[in-house]
Amino acid sequence: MKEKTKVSDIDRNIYDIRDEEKDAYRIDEGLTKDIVEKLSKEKNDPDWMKEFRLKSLDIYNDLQVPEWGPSIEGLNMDEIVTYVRPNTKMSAKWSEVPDDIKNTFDRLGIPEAERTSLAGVGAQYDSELVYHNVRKEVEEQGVIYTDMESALTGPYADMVKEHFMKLVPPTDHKFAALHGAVWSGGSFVYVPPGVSVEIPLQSYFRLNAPGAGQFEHTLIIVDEGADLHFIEGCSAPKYNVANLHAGCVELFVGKNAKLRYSTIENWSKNMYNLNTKRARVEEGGRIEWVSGSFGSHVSYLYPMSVLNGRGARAEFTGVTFAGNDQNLDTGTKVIHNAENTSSFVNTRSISKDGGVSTFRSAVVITEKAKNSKCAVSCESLMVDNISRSDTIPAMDIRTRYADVGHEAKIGKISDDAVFYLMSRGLSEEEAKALIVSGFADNVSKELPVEYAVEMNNLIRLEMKGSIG
Amino acid sequence: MGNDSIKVNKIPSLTWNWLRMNDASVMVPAEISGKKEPVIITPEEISVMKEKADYAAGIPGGMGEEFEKELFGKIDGTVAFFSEAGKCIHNPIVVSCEYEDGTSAADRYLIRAGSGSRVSMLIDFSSGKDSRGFAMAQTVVEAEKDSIVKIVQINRLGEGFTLLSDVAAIAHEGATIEIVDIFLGGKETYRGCRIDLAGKGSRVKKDIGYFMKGTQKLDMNYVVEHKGMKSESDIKVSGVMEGKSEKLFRGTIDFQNGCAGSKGAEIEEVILRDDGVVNKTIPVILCSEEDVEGSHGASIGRLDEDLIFYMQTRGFEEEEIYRLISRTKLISFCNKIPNEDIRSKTMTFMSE
Repeated sequence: MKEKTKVSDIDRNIYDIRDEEKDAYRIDEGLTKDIVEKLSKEKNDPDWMKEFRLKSLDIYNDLQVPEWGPSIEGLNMDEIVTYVRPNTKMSAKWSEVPDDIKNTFDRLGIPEAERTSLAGVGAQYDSELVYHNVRKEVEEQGVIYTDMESALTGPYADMVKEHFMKLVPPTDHKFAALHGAVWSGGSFVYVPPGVSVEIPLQSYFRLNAPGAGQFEHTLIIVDEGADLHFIEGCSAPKYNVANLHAGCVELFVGKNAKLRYSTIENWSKNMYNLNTKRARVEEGGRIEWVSGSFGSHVSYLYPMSVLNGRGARAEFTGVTFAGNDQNLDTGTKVIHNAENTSSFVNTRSISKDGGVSTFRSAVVITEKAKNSKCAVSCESLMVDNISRSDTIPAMDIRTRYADVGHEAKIGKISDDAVFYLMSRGLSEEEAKALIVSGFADNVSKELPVEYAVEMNNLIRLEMKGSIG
Repeated sequence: MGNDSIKVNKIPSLTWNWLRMNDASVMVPAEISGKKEPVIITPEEISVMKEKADYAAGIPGGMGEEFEKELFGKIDGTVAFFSEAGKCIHNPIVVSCEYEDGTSAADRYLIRAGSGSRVSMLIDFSSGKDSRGFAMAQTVVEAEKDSIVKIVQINRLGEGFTLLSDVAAIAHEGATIEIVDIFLGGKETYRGCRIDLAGKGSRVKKDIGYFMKGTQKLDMNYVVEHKGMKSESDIKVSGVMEGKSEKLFRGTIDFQNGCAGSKGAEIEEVILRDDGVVNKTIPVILCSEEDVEGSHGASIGRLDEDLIFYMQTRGFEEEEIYRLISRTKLISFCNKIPNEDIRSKTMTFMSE
């Protein structure tokens, strides 16, 4: 079949290319008080952050591994390196980034995307950002887009301290505590009142070191009446040892502000992706999550929206594709905690080649959230009978003035649709790939076109060999 | 001897603990006391035997192992009903459990429906309005090839009663099991129900209705396991909640590998009439078979706006509309009770 798009086919090799390990500093494997203190010293943390890390470590040691999700028995924290600093400093020019690292980001298309369609880019390699830049005109609007380390000690230090892990406290779960103890890297964004950032900002996270963890922290504050689209991408080459991603995203959406947070996650299939994302939305504000989960060996990922102000809104649009040797437990949580709030959840999941996909959600409408509305729709597609697809949606409604609708469906690819497409000249594999792409168009149509094409290419890649 | 705390109604697929939906804890008295034996009316075509306490224990229920362990320790036998192959028995087995104040009771029943037979059972739990007490019961169903078994259970217990009731059932090839549950009374009600659709073309149909008010609590765990090819499940839940009542509905449709061609659907409609109610729902679909169709839907909160508008144009106030629709829903459940006397008593209970 000839492609009708000019975008070249995706080659898995671009994700799997491994750079030679030339890190400048690598902390010992494992997780001890000594390691956390060393990491804090390496990063020149302010005192409060050092204390925060140590307190988080205590919480981590006290909390149990979740018993309700996929098994993470293959993850041994004693073998994980929590901090790997690349052999370069952060730069605002790609020409100053070492060639091997720059080439990796070139292959991933980051510099090109920056030139054509982004307002700013942060590129993290292992534990630290190696590149960070924002367009001048965006900077002139007063938008702050910087790495977390600079934000922690720079002019916005107080703002960071006020918000850091307040939405996702280390007590939230074991891996939030882990994040609090060993976080490094990530981005800080502040959009001043009334400012609309017309084109998206993007952070890209690349993990090159085998057996390492990546623990970036993303903190975004969109002030009253402001508007932002933030894109997050991530990938890693595949190794035979477990890698860990336990990032944390905290989003503060002010009164009448709007934030769209898009993610295409394509970690390698030896990755344990235990990420936490949460947004708090004030009066009249709006959060939109667009999430594509394709990679990882195991994922626990449930972006949460706390609708805290009257009339606040949340939308979650997600697709999850679980293939061979993948157990992806994804979904969302919405807390309606104020009057006239509304939420809309629309997800698709695909299971193939022995993959396990679980849609898990929680919708809570408190007694305060009168006249709130919520609609949840989730659909699952089983491509073969060696895979698994589960749907576990929970609802907790505590006011009579709520309107909650929920629907879920599970099924297989329609034989009639495959037959129709084959009668038009497509092979069975092409027909199935086309149907799956169409099934996932709830997400692709919400993404900028370049990312939608990448997502569809990922689907086509995953569907290869689906026959027989 | 003091009371024991047991875990019941564990959902087959756990979720976040903070939601407090994974299971329920309930206090069980150490011993049964003051029990009045249930009045059982058995159609003459049915033979009755007293079997040992854990007879057919290999069929698991929805309540779980801790419940069964407590139950087996508290009863001296299982009342077993057998229908002959091919017999169509029109009158139901009627079990009237009318409890005195202060009763703590435990009972276990089994129905084995022979091939092609048709049998139904009505279990009615009742007591004085203000009475207190505790009751636990399990009904085991073995539906043999092409048989039809219908179980109707009504809770009209007093305001101080705790009821734990469980169904453990298996449907063989072509068999149909129908469950009708009506929850009106009691202080706390825990209901477990696990149906194993083991046979090709086996089916289950569940109609669950509840009216919770005051501080009543209802905790349910319905599980259907699709194992046989072309098996079908249909679960309908409809309820009304008032006051500070609490309800948790766990409904699981589990399509297991090999159940090709199976279909399962569950739907819940809840009308909430007061702030302060706690309405929890977790409708789960588990699937490890490609060739199935599964769906669930829920509508929670308010009535459809078009319906309200229509009724208002006919002169009804909004409160009156809610009262009318709620009552209509429950009457439709009462109409499924296969005994006129108990149906009438249930309607009266509902109106009080």
